[in-house]
Amino acid sequence: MQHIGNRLGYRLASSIGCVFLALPIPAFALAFGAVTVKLPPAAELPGQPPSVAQACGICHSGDYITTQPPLTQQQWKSVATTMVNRYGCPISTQDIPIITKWLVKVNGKNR
Amino acid sequence: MKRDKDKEAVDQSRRALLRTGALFGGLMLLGGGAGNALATTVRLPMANGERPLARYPQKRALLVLTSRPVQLETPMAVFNQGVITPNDAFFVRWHLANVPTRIDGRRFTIRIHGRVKQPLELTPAQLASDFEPVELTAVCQCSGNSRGLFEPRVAGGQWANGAMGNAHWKGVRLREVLDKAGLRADAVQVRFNGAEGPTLPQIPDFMKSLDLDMARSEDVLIAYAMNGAPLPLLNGYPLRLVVPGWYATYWVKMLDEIEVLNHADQSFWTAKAYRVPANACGCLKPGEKNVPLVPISRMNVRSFITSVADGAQIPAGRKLEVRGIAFDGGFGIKRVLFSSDGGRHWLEARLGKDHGKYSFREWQASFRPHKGQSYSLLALAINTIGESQRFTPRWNPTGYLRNVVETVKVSAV
Ligand code: HEC
Repeated sequence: MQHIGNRLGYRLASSIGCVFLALPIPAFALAFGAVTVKLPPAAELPGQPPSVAQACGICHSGDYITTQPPLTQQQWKSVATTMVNRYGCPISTQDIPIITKWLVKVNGKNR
Repeated sequence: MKRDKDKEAVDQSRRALLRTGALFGGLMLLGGGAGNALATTVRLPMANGERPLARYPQKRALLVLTSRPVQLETPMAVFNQGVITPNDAFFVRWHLANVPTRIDGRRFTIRIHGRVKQPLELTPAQLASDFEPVELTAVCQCSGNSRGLFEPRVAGGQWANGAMGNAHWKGVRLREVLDKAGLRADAVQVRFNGAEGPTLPQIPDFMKSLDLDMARSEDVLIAYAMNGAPLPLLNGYPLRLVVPGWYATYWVKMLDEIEVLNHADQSFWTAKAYRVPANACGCLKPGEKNVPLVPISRMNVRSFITSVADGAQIPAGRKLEVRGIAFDGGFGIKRVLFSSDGGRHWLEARLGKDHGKYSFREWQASFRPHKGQSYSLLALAINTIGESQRFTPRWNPTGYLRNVVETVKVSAV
């Protein structure tokens, strides 16, 4: 399970770039040439993600989590639930409390 | 083992980021110059506002909101350097992590199909040679620009004010391309899809639709050039929809498919996402439920002070020129008012050159600061149909439509 997440997540996220080459194109000729870019590596999931949380890196990098404002336990739970219901995050609903606990730990707000 | 080591490295670099953030934060926002080369992070004025300052392909150092999908914010200092936002400084926003990193512009095609008489498939070069070229200057602004400044905070991309840019676009009228394909009588909407794709099949592909009237309006373009050059890959090379006056969500990048529909689009990003409360304000109260929603569309009027940063010290005893920009959703800026005393008194700012009704409009005003005094600087823009900015920020749970009069606090020394 953990390895599937890893393979889909980090590999995918970090292998999106390939060869670095941004061909300079003359401004006015507007030749539509080939452009290849290599993206800097993706930010990893923050803290110590439980293995089920590897799924959170499949569709986006870890900075999606760390740039959010600190959220309450209830709000993080609702984010995780949204990821499942809206976007099809492949985790079982039983894993939501585990993931929520991790999210609160890395970016939680007490209330 | 390996995981622990990685984690340690990440933690260390995070701590390093936070330290530099504390040192260079704030200053860097409008700073520029030598400081920029040193700083590795900028601190935006919000909790968790630390942003790495990093170079992405075809880009100068920008504020990294997220690394995958790539989302980059333009530092406010850029908007003080000219009315046009350079391509390498233009903000970047993708929705899905599967963005092609190689595009061959000679092979790339855009397909026009659906409720048309004659489906077409065109390369960028064919578009450029077979249709009349059209040029215009227009602001492209993310619907969620300034979301990070919402109070109470809301989930979503935590931008400060730099998810916008103003460029000179060149392309062809969408209408002409649609007419060449020939619309069938039952056509009602046009749906746009780009090469950006999901990383899992269950995630809805990013597509946006416009009603036929809007799609056929004069200024909606399929752009193949931005500021006289091909678009940077991260801004949608080689083709991008340009919907002047409307939020950037409609400006579909790497545009490779146009489908004419005979029904209202039910797909996720048009029917479920990017919706705002269906009242004149576009707002609601935190916790309020069951408010009818409509798709976001035209941008509201905004202005920014660009020549001084919040928290800056300014020289006392002589006239200070304050500069900034204003824009709206396509009616054009009529007036900009400036206040140096938190809004008690206002004076008329001088407007800069008119680059068209969709463009940033530069403005200037001056005042004489006195030593030891603090000032709250405000700018208020009004468009040609009398719409102005708000004095109280609107709130909605998606963080859209911010256009409150922003305050820049400075002290004279
Ligand atoms: C199947 C794809 C997918 C998976 C898996 C996924 N997300 Fe997301 N996530 C998305 C999409 C799509 C968005 C919204 C993107 C946008 O609007 O730009 C998003 C946005 C977010 C945001 C930003 C806030 C918001 O509401 O827009 C956070 C935080 C987030 N995800 C956290 C998580 C966490 C935590 C997990 C693991 C439980 C997770 N995501 C797993 C697709 C996914």
